[in-house]
Amino acid sequence: MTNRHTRLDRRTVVLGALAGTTVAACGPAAGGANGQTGQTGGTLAAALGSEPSTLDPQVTSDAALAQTAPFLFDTLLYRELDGTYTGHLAEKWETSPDGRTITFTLRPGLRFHDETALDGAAVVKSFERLLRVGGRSPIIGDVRRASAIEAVGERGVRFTLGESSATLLNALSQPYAGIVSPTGAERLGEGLGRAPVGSGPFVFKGWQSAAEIQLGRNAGYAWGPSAAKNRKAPYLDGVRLRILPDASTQVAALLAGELDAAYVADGAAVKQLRSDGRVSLTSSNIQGLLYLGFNMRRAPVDQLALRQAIAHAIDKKAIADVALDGMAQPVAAPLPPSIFGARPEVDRLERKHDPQQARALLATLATPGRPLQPLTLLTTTSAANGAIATLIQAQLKAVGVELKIQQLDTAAVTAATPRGEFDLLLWRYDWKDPDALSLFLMSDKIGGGNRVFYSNPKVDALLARGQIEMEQEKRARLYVEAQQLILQDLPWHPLVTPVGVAALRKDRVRDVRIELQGKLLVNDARVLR
Amino acid sequence: MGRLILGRGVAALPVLLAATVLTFILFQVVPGDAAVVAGGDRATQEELAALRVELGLDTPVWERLWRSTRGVLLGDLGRSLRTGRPVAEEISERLPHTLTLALGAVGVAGLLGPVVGAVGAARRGGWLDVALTGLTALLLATPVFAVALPLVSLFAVRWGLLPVAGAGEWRHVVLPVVTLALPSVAAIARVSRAAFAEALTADYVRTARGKGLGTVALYARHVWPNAAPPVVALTGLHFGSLLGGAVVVETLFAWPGLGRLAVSAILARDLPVAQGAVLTLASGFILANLAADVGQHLLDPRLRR
Repeated sequence: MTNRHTRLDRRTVVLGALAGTTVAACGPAAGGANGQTGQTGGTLAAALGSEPSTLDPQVTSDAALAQTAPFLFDTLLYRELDGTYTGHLAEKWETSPDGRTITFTLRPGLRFHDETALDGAAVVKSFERLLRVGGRSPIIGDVRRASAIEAVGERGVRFTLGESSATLLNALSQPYAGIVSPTGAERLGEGLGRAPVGSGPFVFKGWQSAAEIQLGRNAGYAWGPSAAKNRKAPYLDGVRLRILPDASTQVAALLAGELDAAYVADGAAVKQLRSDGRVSLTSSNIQGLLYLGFNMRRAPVDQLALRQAIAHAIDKKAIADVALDGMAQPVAAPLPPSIFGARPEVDRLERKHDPQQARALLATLATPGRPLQPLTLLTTTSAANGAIATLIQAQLKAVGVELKIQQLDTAAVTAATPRGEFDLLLWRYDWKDPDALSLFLMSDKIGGGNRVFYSNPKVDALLARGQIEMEQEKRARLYVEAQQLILQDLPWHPLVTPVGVAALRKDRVRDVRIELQGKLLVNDARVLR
Repeated sequence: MGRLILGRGVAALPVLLAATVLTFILFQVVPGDAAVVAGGDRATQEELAALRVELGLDTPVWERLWRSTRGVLLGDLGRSLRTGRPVAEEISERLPHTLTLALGAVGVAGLLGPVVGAVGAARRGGWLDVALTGLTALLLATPVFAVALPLVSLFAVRWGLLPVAGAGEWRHVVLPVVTLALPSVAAIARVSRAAFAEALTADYVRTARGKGLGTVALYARHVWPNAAPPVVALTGLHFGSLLGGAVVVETLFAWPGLGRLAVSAILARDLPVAQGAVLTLASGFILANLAADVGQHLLDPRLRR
C-alpha cells in the first residue's frame, strides 16, 4: 500500500508541474499545525457510472454530462439544495413586475479558459449557439420562450419573454445552461465536444474514451458558487473522472484506494461500504420519482375502479426495502418532497396499501364467466426495475390480478409506449421543478413525455398557469390542486423516490461537498497525505 | 498455401457484406432508433421527426441500406449517431485494448491449455488426470463474474497487488486477461488431453520410445505435431470469439474495448458504430481462423502437398 501512495505522489508532482501552478504539490500543508490538515495540490479520483457522449453541454441530455459539466462550465445562477437561487456568474438579477423581462448583471473580470472575456456579449452568443444546436437540450423549450436575449452594456444580459416564465430560472441553473466560450466554439466547431472551453474551476486536460477524463485546476478562477467557501481557484491540482460502469467495480476501487469518491445507487454496494471505517456515506433523496403508470386508453385499466384496486394492492414499503434494498423512500404524491416539499393536503389522497379494499373493488368489476385477463407490465431491463416488477406481480397475484412482465431496453420502451402496447408502465422521471408534471401529464404531450395518454383539461389549465405564475405561494397552490386531481384520476400511482449515496474515502480527501443527483462540489476539497 | 490465403481473402468480402446487411436489418426490426435515444424521455413526435432529419433517418429504408453498404465497400464507415465522431476513430481507439486482451488471453490459453492437457494425457486415468478433468469442467461452468469478483477482491482490494480496473500499465492487464483466459484454458486443455491421449497410443510413439528417444524429443517431434491440429483450430476459434465476447470482462474491469463499444452502440441504436464493430470483429474472426489454418498447414506436411 505504501508503494502505491509514493507512486501517486510522483504522478501528482508531474501533474502539478504541467498545470504550471506555483503551489507545491507535495510537502507539508500550507497553513495548519494539525497533521490531518490537507495540503493544496493532489488529484481527486471520482467515478462516473457512464461516459458522456460529448462534453458540449448544449447538444445532449446525457445524465453523465450533468455530472461532468459543473467542473468545466459555469451557469448564470446556482440552485441551492433548498431550491433558492443565488448568483453564480451573475452577481444579481432583476425581474420586471410583469415577469416578462429578466436582466442579469455579470460579475466583473470573468474569463473563459481561453482567456477571452466572459461578458454580456459572450453570454448572448453562447445562448444563440444553444438555440442553433441545442435541439436535444433539456432546457431548449424554456430558452425558446425568450423572444430576445440581448447584451445590455458590458456586463448585462436581458431575457425578454412573451409571457412570464416560472421555469426559466431553473433552466438557467442547470448544467445544460453552462456558458460556452464563443471563440472556442468558433475555433473548434464540432470538436468542442471533445475539447470543451468553459469558464469553470477546472480546465479540460484529456479524455481517453471509455476510460477516463482528466481535468486540471483553473488557476485564474475567482467566481465560485455561494455553496463553496473557497470562491477562488480550487486547492486540488486536478480531478480524474474514471468511467466505471459496474457498481461492484466502483466499490472495489473505493476500498482499494484507487477512487476517492463515488455515487452509489445500488443497495448491495452500500452495504459493503458501510462496514469500512475509512468510507463516509452521505445519503440524499434524488429529485425524481418511480411510478406505476396506467394506459388510460386501453381496457381494462381505463376503468378507474381497476386502477384504484391495483393501487391498493401495492405495498410501497416492501418495494423500497426489499426490491431496492432500502435505497428509496415511499411517496404519495406525483411530486416527491425533494422537488416540492411535503404536502399533507395532497398525501391524504393516497391510495394506501389495503389488499382487502383491493379485492372489494375487483369484485365490483368482475363479470361472471369472464375472469380478468392478465395485464402486461412494461419496463426497462435494469435489475432494479426487474426486482420491483416481480414484487408488484406477487402483490397483485395476492389480490387475484395476474400480471405479465415485459422488459425491454430503454430505447425500445420509449419507442413502444406511444403505440400504447402496454397496460401498466413502470417508469421514472428526474427533474428539479414542479413543471415536471407538465412534461409528463399534459395532454399536448401525449405521444411524447405523456406516455399514459392522460388528458384532463382542468389539470392542463393548472399546469399551464404554473408555468407563468411568478408568485411562489400562488404557484404552489396550483400544483397542489393539480396533484389532487391527478391522484383522483390515477393515471400514475406514485411509488418511491430514489435515494443516492455518496461514498467518500475520508482518510484520503476532505471537504468534498455532495450535491443532489451525485454531483460533487470540490472547490473546497483537499487531498490528505 | 498461397492459394489458401487468396481464397480466404476473396471469400471474406461477401461475408463482411452479409454482416453489414444483417446488422442493418436487425436494427430496423428492433423498436426504437437513434432519434428516440437522442430525444430522451421528453421529446415530442415533432421533435423526434426533426431529429430523424438531422440524423439522416428520414429517408426510405432502401436508400439508407445502400448508403451504409456503399460506405463500407468504399471504406467510409461514417460517423457515430451518438457522438458525431468518425466511426473509424472510435474503433481505432478501442481496438488496441481489445487486441491486448484477446492476444493476452489466447496466448495464456494457447500455452497453458496444451500443457495441462498433455499432463493429463500422460498420466491418464491417474488421480492428476481426474483432478484436472474436474477442474477444467468447473472452470467451463463458472460464469465470468464468479471468477472475476473473487480475483479482484483478493488481489486488488485485500492485497493491493494489482489494480481493480482500468487500462494503462502492464499491471492493469493481468486480472482481465486471467479472467478471460481461464475458460479458454479449460476448453483447450480438454481437447488437448484427448488429442494427446490419442497420439500417445499410436504405433509411431511406441517405435520412437523403443528406439530410445527421450521424452522431450518425443513430444516435440512426434506427439505434438500429431496432436496439434484440433488444438490449433480451437485456439483460433477462441481468439475469434475472445475479440467480441469480452463484454462482461470489459465492463467489470472498466476495460475500454470493442465489446463495450458494440453493446453501447446497440443500446443507443447507433447503427454506423455497431456496423463498424461487427465488421472489425468479423474480420478478426476471419483472420484468426486463417491463421489457425495456416498454422495447421505448417505443422502437417501432409497438407502441404
